[in-house]
Amino acid sequence: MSLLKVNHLYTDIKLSDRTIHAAKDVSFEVNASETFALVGESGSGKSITALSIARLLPDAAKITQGEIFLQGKNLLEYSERDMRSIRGSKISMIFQEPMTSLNPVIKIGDQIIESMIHHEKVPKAIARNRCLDLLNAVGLPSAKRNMNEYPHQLSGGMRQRIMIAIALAANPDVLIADEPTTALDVTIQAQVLELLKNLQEELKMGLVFITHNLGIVHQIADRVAVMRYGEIVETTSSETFFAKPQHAYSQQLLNAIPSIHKRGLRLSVDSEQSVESMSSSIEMHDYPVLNVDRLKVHFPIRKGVFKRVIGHVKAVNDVSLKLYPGKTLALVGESGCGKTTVGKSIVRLLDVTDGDVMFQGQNLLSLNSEALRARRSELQIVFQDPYSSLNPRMLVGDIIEEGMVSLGVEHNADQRRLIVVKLLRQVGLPEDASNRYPHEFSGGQRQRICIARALAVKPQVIICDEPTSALDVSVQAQVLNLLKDLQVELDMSYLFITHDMSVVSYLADDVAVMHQGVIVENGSALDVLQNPQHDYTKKLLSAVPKLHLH
Amino acid sequence: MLFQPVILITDALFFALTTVIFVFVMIARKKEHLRRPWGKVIKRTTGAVALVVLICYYSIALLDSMHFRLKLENVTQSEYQYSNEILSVLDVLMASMRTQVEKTFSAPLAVQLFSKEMVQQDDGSMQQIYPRLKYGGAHLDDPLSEKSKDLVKISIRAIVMAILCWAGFWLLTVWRNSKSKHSSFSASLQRFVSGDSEYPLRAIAITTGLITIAIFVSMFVGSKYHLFGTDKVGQDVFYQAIKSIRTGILIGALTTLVMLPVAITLGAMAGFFRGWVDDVIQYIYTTLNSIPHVLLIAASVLLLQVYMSNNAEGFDSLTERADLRLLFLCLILGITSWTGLCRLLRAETFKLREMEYIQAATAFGVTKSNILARHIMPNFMHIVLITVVLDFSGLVLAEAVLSYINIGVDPATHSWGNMINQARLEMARDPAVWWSLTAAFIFMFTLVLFANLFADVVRDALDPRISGSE
Repeated sequence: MSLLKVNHLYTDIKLSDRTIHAAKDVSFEVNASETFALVGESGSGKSITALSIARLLPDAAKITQGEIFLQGKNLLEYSERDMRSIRGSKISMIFQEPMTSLNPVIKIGDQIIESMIHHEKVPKAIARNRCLDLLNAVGLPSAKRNMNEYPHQLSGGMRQRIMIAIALAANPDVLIADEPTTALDVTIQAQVLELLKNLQEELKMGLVFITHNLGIVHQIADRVAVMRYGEIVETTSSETFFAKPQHAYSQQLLNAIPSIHKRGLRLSVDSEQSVESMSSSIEMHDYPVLNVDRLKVHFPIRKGVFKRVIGHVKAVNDVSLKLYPGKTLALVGESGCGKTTVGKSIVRLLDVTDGDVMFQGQNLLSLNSEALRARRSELQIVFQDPYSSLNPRMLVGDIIEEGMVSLGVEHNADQRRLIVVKLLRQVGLPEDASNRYPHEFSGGQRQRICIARALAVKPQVIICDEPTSALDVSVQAQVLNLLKDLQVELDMSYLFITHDMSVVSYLADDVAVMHQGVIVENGSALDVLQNPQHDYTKKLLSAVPKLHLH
Repeated sequence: MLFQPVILITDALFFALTTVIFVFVMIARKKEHLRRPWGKVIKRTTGAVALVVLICYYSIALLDSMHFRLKLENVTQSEYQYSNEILSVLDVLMASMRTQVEKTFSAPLAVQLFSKEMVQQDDGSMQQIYPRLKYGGAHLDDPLSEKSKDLVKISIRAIVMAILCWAGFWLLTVWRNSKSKHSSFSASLQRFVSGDSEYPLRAIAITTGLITIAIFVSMFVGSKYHLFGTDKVGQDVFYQAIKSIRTGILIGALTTLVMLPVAITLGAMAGFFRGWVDDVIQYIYTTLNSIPHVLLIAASVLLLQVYMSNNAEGFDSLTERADLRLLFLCLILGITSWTGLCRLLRAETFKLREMEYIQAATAFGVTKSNILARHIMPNFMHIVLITVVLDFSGLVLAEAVLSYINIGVDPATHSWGNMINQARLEMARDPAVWWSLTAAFIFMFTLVLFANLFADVVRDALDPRISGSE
């Protein structure tokens, strides 16, 4: 008998004006000590399915049909009161965001003990000992001290470990992990995945692992189900899935992943489109278009009434980069390493402490605001989050036009309108988009608007600050294709800031690896990726979940 | 000319405000991001009903703001001479209630005075009786037996006429609707009655129906009786309560008008520029906040009183004096109340200025003033609107409190605060005179209640976090 069995589950979300069928006829089984991966892009209904199993759906959502058996008993027949005793003791969940899943005003030890005392009625002293064991088991270095600390004192990875500890506190039979590593850096992700795998084998749990990252699936899952639009399109064993995906959508998902083997090729976005080779006729130039020399950005720490400077956070410490015309330089590093700070200080959105940014023979940092404005049109930036980088109260047309107006690129209003239409076509958006508001567009489309806005002022260099990290794989593939096409078409250079090694390997000509404000390794992409010299680069590369496809 | 229009300062401001609201509605209808949330407000039953009631109050205030002087009748010269008394359109509409002044207190719908008086009888003897009122129920021969029958008769006539007017209007609306949508009249009517429409038309219709009935009944009954009785000098209390609407709305609206520009500019500047600008603005509002508001208001109002008594010749009439005092009160209330909104906006700007679209604009070389005007202000407007609507009811209440301690509007101005202030003495009588307080309470309560309900709906509709989660 399977441990968890979901039978023809239908879950609806009622909105004020319509009903969304978030899960349609979802069926799957999970056996003891098996890892079952539920894969799909955002909005495919995987989280709703998980919440349905734990009966933790928000008020607007309702299970309309189906059965969920846990060890042969139908969970949907339990009362809320019975369900409370099941949650935590039989089914546990880990959520995506370790920052918000912990209560910031309660000590970590107390948060873990709470669920133990509640479910098993053990005395507090015993619970504390068990808690200590758990924290050791999830690999916290100084468990005893951590118990008396508050969540904000710990890093994201440590918090996710604590979430796992809480989930395991009552020895559950089924653990549902909803994108537990999405918010984490690759090296920490690797640690958490290994931890989960070990714990699962030790405790013989069934693990339902929800993710959009196929690399993780490959590394950890025994069986895979692919979801799209609320339906499971394919359920199969992990080996078969990666060797011979049956459903067209599964193939499409796999093909959309950028990797080193696909350099120079288009990423397939939908399965009908043939994979054609792109011309890469860019010749080598000797002079860098952008030369960052010994850049230092220090943020002062101020204290007291008079805001006395008592120290500095050295966000960027001595960074040198060279970007050649028509090339892509990837700046790689984990969160907090200072890579975004580098990007923003190059376009002088942040004040630089020391160093030079030579752009076409001129030092950007020594320009006054008038001269800088004249240069701004040649150096643009595309931000990470397409949701916060567009003003929600402005029409898309006005957004794209704004730069042209303020930088005086085109003074004629009719001409500007024509350029906007041309740009929209160039980035693959409908022409009527200019009269709509950003909220009417999806994340990928919004990122296209951001790119069109940057292109409007005819830049030579675009700094792309994690432009695809907020997007699904297939949308990411579209945006990467677009960037690559535009580069060939307009002969632009990209400074591509990212943490995603697969994107780097697919797109970059040169790579600079950044760690704690310093560049640790620098060179051509193929060299660095295939033959890393520095320890940190090696660690970073080995932490990426591997996919061996072609 | 039969009359000479008079525009008091508050009138001018009130008209200006009305124009601004009108223009905003016109603009909002065209802009999608404005039309959507406000459409949501009207689609909610509570929002639509509250809006109808508020519009009703607002129209009364508007009618009461159209002032003029009547031409004096007995003057024969060729040059015009106008009466010194400034009247409003509302005064003319309620002429019977305004002019039918009794001797002193009388209870609601009474035909006799409230207290016994010595009256000389026909035979010359003096007797302690309740004398008949001069106007209230004066048409009745035998009030004891006829009064209730007469009241019922008048009310029924009023209700029937009200329903006729109301039904006529709504049938016309449904008919026009059916024509524009090319459906049969009966089908449209069916949909209307069953409440099956995009906007809560049925709820709006019921509300307007009730309001129409209330207006007709009060006009019909009010012309023959005193609906809420009379006060110490025999003035109709219902008339006073209606006249107070303008004062209440003005205090709420004009104060907001005074406080908004200050709060928005300073709040946005403090949040956007930070540094010393932020420090200066913060010091200003913390200082202002640390002075007790009542003290500040009392001091300024007393100052104005001294000024006005020293320059008495500068004012043509009592009404103008009272008007100036009302305006001044709005000003000083505005000065004391911008700090809260300013703080909110400063915090919101802190958040907004770190948004990536602001940084993108900086990267495009957009000037700071343009960033403030185009990127920051439109994005905190929802907070401004919510605060304005919420503050409005608070200000109406503040007027009542200030008038109660005698530093509010001029005693000659009709206001709920003044009515409550008078009621302090009336309640001490035995038996108590309760109707002034009750009338003021009912009218103020309705306005504040619906303003609050409206604010609730507006907040739900405009808060992007709520609309985002739906």
